[in-house]
Amino acid sequence: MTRRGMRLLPSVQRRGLLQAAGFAGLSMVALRANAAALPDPLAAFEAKTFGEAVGALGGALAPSPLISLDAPSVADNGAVVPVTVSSALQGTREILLLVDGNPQPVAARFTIPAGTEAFVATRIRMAGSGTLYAAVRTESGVYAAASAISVTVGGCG
Amino acid sequence: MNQPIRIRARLANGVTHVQVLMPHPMETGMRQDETGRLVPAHHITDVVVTLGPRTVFAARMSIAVSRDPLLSFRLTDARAGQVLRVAWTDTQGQSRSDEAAVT
Repeated sequence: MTRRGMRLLPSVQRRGLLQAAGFAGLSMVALRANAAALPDPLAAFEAKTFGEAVGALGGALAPSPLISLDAPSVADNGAVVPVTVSSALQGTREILLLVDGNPQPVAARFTIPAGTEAFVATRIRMAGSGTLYAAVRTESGVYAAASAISVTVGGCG
Repeated sequence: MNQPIRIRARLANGVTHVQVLMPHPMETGMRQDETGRLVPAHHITDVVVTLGPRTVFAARMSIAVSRDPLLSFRLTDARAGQVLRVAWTDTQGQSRSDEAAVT
């Protein structure tokens, strides 16, 4: 799974992939099982590691080219990293931002009701260089796009 | 005591582009003050945006959202003149809400 994930996302750091506990292609069977038991995403906010956060979101983030994640590849100031996400996935209900390497990996969750575009832009903090994930929850599962970001000065202090 | 939320909602070609700026320290709990003491965590946890009776956008935030949170989103079924209401609550139980009309 890890090797496949690396092929799909060559820019993603290996450490991030290992911690992602399944940021990789999923079989349809696994996707359906995932969708059947979509857990409460609020639990993910309690997670202290990226693996825990992904577990709380259902155990896997399936890479999707239908998610657009726009963020700088180099952020001089980790306290203010601009992020824009849009999703062309059918039935997008939520957009979540996760940072692998932050002490609290789930940065934010946005609820997208009918009548609101699957689009959000905001500014987040990154403790250091790492991978930013935009996760999208639809009726059928949790999908994601990733972006490696090099942070010059960490944004926690 | 809390500063007003700045809300801009512009309708163009059927889509309302909304920008919201919420002045708030968003303290992470990891920052030290001048004397070296940790400043306690104090951040917005929830934001709810309503258009009349309907919730059109909501956000849950951790300490990883930057100081003075900025949100942009887009509504496809808002009309000019409708009032958009933005409300936040934070970890100290404070809250604030403000309104702006779609123009």
